[in-house]
Amino acid sequence: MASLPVLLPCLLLLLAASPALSTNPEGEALHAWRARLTDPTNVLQSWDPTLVNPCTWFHVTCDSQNRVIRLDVGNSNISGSIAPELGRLERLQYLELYRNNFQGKIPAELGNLRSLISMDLYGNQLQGEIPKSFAKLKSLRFLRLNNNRLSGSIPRELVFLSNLKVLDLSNNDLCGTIPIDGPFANFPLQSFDNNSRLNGPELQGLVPYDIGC
Amino acid sequence: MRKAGSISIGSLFLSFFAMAVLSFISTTVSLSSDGKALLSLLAAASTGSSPGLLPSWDSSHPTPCSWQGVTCSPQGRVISLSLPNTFLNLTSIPPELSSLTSLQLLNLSSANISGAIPPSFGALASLRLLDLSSNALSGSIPQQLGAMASLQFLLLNSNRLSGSIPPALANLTSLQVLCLQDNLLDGSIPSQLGSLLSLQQFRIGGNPYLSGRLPPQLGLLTNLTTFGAAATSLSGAIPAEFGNLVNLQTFSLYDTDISGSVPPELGSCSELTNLYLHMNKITGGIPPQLGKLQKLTSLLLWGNSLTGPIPGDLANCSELVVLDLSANRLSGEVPSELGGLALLEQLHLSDNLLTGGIPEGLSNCSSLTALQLDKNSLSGSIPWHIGSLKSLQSLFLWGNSLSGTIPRSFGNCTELYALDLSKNRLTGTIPEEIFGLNKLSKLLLLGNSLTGSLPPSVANCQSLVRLRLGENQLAGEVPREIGMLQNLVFLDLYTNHFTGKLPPEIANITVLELLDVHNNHIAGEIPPQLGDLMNLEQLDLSENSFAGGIPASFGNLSYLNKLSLKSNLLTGSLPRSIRNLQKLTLLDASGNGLSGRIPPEIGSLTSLTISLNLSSNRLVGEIPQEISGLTRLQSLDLSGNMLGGGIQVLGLLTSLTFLNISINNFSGPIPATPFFRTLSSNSYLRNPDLCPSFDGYTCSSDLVPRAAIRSIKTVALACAVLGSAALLFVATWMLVGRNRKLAAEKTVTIPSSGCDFSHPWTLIPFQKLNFTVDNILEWLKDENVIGKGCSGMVYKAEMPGGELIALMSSPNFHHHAMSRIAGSYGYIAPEYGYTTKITEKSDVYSYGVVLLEILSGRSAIEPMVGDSLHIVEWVKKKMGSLEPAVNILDPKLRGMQDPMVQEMLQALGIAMFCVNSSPSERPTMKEVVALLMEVKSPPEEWGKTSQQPLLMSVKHG
Repeated sequence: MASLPVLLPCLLLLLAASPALSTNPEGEALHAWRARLTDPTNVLQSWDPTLVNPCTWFHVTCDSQNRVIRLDVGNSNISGSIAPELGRLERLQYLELYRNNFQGKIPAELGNLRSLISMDLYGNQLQGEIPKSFAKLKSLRFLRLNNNRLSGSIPRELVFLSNLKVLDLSNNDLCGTIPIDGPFANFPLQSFDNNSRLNGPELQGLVPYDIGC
Repeated sequence: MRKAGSISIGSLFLSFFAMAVLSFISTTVSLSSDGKALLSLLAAASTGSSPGLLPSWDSSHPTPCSWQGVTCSPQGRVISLSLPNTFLNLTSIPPELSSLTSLQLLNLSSANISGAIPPSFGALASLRLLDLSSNALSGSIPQQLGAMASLQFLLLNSNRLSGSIPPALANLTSLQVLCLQDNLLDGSIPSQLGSLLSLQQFRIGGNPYLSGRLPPQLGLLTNLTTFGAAATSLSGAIPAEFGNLVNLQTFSLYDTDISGSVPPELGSCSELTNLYLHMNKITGGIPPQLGKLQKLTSLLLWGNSLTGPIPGDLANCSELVVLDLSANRLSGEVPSELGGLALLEQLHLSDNLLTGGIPEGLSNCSSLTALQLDKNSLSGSIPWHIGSLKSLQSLFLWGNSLSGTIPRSFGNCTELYALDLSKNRLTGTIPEEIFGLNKLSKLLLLGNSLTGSLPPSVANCQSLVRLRLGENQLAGEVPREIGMLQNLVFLDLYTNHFTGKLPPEIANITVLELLDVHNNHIAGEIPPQLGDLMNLEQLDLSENSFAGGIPASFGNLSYLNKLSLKSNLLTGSLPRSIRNLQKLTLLDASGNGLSGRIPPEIGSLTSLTISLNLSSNRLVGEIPQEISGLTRLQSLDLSGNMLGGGIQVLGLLTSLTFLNISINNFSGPIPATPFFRTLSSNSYLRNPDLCPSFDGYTCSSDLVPRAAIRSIKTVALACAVLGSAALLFVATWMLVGRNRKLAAEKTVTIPSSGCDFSHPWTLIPFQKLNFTVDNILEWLKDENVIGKGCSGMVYKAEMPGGELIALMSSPNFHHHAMSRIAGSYGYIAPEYGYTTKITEKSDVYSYGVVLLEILSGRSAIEPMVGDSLHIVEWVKKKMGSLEPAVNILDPKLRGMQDPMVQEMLQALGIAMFCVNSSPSERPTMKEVVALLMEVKSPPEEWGKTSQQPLLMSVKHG
């Protein structure tokens, strides 16, 4: 934190030599993100910014119109943050970033991924709250955010995700109570295990849901 | 007040000093007070520091003047303490150092010091240099430092200092260097600092929370040579007053929130060599006045929102080495004058709106190593003279509208490392001269209209790592010489017109990770040698005319992630060796002539998550049971084959979000999972023997074809036959909150006599029940355990009213609140064990259990009898077996007239509908009643049963 090199001409040249550019907005978003990641095992080395589109990059899958529908970079030892730019991949169906070293907050922009079917961010070091904007993910079936350091209450907006079939929020630092409406009626309690400040199922009308937060 | 206090403390110490000198002269050797003050450093050093630290600091010396890092005045006073890069490991700076009133230089940089800066340092009135940089100091900068009247150098950079910059620093009128960069300072820059007229270096960058505007008063600092405020949250415009900084050499203000335009006045900063304003929010045009900066070597304006043309005046900056204007919205043409910049090494104009041609004059920039004009709207042809840029290492012209051919003169750019001309309108052939470049690592010509063949001379370019030629009109055969490119990692030849066979020599490129030749006209067999490409991660041979079988050697591609073979002419069966592809996430073999069965080995591809597509082949047989191993598979397409048998196993693929099994010969019931319920009939189309099913085990046509049959009378009859079966069913749910408590009871009582369901469902507030939470808790003891549920123990409990109920305790929540659910064991729905919400559907389950008991003559749980299965499991097992369904019925009922037996079987189907494990798949009580009403029996039977409808009085709770 305290060692941002300032006025280091050689660093400047490095920055200048690698403008994050691409010929298509989705590739651009992905490459801008990649430029800020640490990728010790070169999992993302195929993310060539000069490609016409990102569809031949490893771990990226496109549909027949060359729009990105999948991002599969689980288990890849990557560190850095999850970029708000990912919210621009408007046809993305699978966002698989599990078991890496991603830090920081989950960007609210991910709520713009209207086509998303599965979001697996489990097994990282994500902090902050679960974005309320996730309520917009109407196609979402799988949401696994377990084994992170997420805090705050479970957004009530999630009860409107009527397609949600699998939810795992275990092993975080969430607080308040568990919603019981909508898809939450069917989730096993194990989905919420090991959140030491979580108070069990919501008693509607009795106690504010974020009590103890 | 404080200042006065400091002075008096200082004089106090002076008198101490005098006494110390006196005592030294008169009696024994004793350390001077300056020496004692210095020893406080050693005392403060935490025990972790090495014991041999500063061995020369011997307290038996009369003065510290011979100590390491200490310099004294002729009078024996310490005037300098300098211990940089010494592992002092202090958790705080001892305030005693403030008594060194003669100190002129204090340097403790990189000494592993934490804690705060002592405010008493303000008393060091002689101090000219204070360097505490590169430590772990925290807290704020004491305003008392403003009292150090002699201070010329203040270096506090690279610590964890917070708070704002004290305006009192403006009193340091002798200050020449102020380095506060790389801390956690917040607030804004005090405008008072404009009075530091001696200041030459002012560096406050790397303080991400520093905000506010740049004070125009800083324009008064005419001695400034360096101003750095990069990587901060500063905002607003650059004050025009900065144009007064006539000695400024480096102006670094990148990665901030600075907006507004570049002040033309900066053109007056005639000493400027480095102007770094990139990654800001600057708008407007580039002022031509910058052309007056005769000493400018680096001009970085990239990543702003600059508009307008690139002023040709910049060509007057004859010392320019780096010019980066990329990622803006600059328009107009690339000024040909730039060709006059003889020293220019890097020209980056990427990602703008530039039009016109590439000026030939650029070829005069003979020092150029990087020329990046990509992502613009440049047109015309690539000037032949680019070839005279002998030092050129990278040339990016991709994403323009360049036409014409690729100049052969590129062959002269012998230093060229990366050449990217993708996404233009280039025509003609790839000049063979390019392959003579023995440093070329990346050659990207994607998305042009290049014709001709890929010459065998490509093999000369041994340095190639990425060869990406997709989306052109290249024709002819892929030369076998390509196998000699031993460094090639990516080979893209997709969407061209390549013909002939794929040369097996490709398999010699052992480092190859990507091989993409899709959408060509390549024929013949897939060379089995490809199995030698041990590093291959992506292999796309789709949309060609490959014939023959899929080589078994593909099983060796253990790193393979995606394999696409679709739309070829492949025959034979899927090789069993595919089981070794343990990293495969996508397998697409659709649109071929594959035959035989789906090998059971497919089930070992546990990493297969993205897609398995075997559609449009000639596959036969059944889906192997082993496919159930693909629990992470999300898309499965088996359509357009000749597959048969049941599809029960597909119900186990719980991650599926897409399924197509249409146009096959599948038969039997469709699995009753929620996913299958969401599928449209298109997914099953043209499988005449598939049938819908309520429970996933039986075709609904077997049980409810005559729809939902079920005469109430039949059940009544069954009830009568059973005689006095006493059924008491109590479902109570109770949640205990931290602040409030509530229990509600839902009771259904099925009295033994007369099958009279006269008691409606009731909901009784907790307070009206004659028990408390503590009553319940009393029963949670080991001796009351009667079983174990899905996620907790089940206890017997007797309510004060005498009813026996079952209590279930969930182990999941030990904190604050407990969730406890009660119901009659055996009748409680499975979701009681694992979910948070109990609905009416849970009661439907319980009702289904009761119906099953009536029909089968079995109790819900029969721990002492035979298999001890729960009744629901027992019935499911029976239905899944080959036994006739009638065997499920109570033996006493089996002998009845056939129409009645039929009706009871129909009732059985409804009961199974009620006990579906997924609450959402169960009917509502209303629907159950409707189904039961429709149970049909031949008309002549109606007269024989005259009892009242069994379910009439059951009201939907």
